[in-house]
Amino acid sequence: MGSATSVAAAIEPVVFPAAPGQSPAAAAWRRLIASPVARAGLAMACGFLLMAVVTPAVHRYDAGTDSDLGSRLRSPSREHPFGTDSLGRDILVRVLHGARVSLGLGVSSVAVAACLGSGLGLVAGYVGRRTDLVLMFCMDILLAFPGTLLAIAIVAMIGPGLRNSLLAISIVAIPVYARISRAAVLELRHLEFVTAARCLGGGDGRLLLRHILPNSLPPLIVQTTLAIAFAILETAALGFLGLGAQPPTAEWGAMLADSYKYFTSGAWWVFFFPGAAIMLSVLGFNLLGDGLRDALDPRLRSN
Amino acid sequence: MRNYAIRRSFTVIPVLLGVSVLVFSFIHMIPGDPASVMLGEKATPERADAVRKQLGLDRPIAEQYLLYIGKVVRGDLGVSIVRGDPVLPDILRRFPATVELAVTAIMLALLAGVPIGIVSAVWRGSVVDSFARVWALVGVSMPIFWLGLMLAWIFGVELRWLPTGFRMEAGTSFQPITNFVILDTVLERDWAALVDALRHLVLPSVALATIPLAVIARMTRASMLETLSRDYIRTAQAKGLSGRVVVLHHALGNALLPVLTVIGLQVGSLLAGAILTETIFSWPGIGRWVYESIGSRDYAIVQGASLFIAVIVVVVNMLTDLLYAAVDPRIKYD
Repeated sequence: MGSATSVAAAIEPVVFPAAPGQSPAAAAWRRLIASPVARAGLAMACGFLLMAVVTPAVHRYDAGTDSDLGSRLRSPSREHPFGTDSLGRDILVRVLHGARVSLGLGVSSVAVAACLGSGLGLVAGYVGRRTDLVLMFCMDILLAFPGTLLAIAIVAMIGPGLRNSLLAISIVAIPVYARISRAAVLELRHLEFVTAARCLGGGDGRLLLRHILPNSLPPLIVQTTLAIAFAILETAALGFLGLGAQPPTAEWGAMLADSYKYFTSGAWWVFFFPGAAIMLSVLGFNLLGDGLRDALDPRLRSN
Repeated sequence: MRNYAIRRSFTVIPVLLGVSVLVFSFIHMIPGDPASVMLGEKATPERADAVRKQLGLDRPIAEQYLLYIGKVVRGDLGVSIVRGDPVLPDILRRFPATVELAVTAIMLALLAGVPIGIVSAVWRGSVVDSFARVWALVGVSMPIFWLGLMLAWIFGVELRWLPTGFRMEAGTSFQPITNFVILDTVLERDWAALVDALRHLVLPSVALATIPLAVIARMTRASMLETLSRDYIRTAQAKGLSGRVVVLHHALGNALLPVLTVIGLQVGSLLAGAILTETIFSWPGIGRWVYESIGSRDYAIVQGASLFIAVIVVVVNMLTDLLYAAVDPRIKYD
């Protein structure tokens, strides 16, 4: 069996044209870093992830006891760089802590969707026939719905809150993963290296997990980055509609919902900063995803 | 082509059935007993029983679905739990406002997105191109509810150029007939009302247009680049035709075909985006109504409106496919 593995490994196709002595991953990384737009995206995405991880570790925050009605709606100053909101809470502190909720929800819902969705897609593509037909029909139904509408409708039914938002956003993201991984399986399953591995006695599970899955990763990685961007946007939209994070939780969308009535009073800072945080974090992941697509798929680079 | 049209139309039926099953299941996603949840504080065992009976929740689930689909086919999307009105007439009354907003938004997106895409492709790699590409990504990343707020604040509050809510000034004497206000003002030749309605339309439609604009610009650019690399374009250039003629007369027509599909696909995101935009701008369309119904736990409205929007999206996508086949003579489906 040991020799069988090494033979199967030896005839796996090289997905990325890499320089001698350079792994495909390293080659892709070099291409990614070469693009200024991708570098900017990487820096922004990492910056926001860092913000989400570090802020709660270095600063304790209790949204319930944070209000200071004596300093309501103060404009940005040295003391409050982003100003204060309608309950006198420092907006900078809340934006920093909001990163944990928004990015946490975005990343975890995509993680759930990626596992479930690509699992379903692998099975559908590999098993084929009726399983494929039924699974993909269900995915098409989910895709027929506009994503945001489906997420809103699901949360409206099962009730508002962070956990339910996570569920809804994951469900919305599943079909795209299923489609991508199914397409990859259909492309790969008849290639020689898979046939060779099967001839060497590899079982279905081994073929799927050791040979097909690793080779279908590039499009899944790109999709994951873009899906995180979309999930952050959805989280904020649900929060804005009062369906996601509930007050007084510091979450960017919910902060906008709290403050949007104040735009007529000219207190622009209450909605400017949380919205800018949403936009920049989503933009970061989108730029990174775009760069990754160019870096991981050399065929698309001409575009 | 006709055979293809018939076949393609039939493929919609299973999708619509699937969508109806999904929307039907919404009511069963409500945790606990849907009847008590709907009644909220007013719930007594007798009233809950009555609601359960009214909604048919006391029957086997398959029978419930058949009853539901039977009603839907006859145009009965249920009854508002809070106000007791049938849902479909209410949807139809509010839909023109949403259509007006969405159509204006897609037109803005086309008028700006296609030229940006062309310029970006023709001057590929230039400063204009880099700027347009980054700007397209910014557009896709934009939370439209935030953009709407910013527009309302800058142009409505600070500069006082444009109104920030509703379709017309309060206290206007104008009475719409079809509820398509722009159309009505033109038909009645009430130009003051038309200007008023257009002024109210600017900010919400610009906010709603952002994402489709970015998507259309990106698609036009990619498609234009591909078309410009074709042999017949090189032939046209070799004949000595000017760059403008080659781009606009030879390349543009073919390059716009994929853009057509994108427009069809954007209808879904436009209607979903309308929920957010209409909320910000107090626009009396379906979106704002859904938002208010979520707040008052009027599940029948959320369910009915979701089905209505999903059916429109499925049908528009089918029509896009048909249109695509009709305008592209190279595609043979039979």
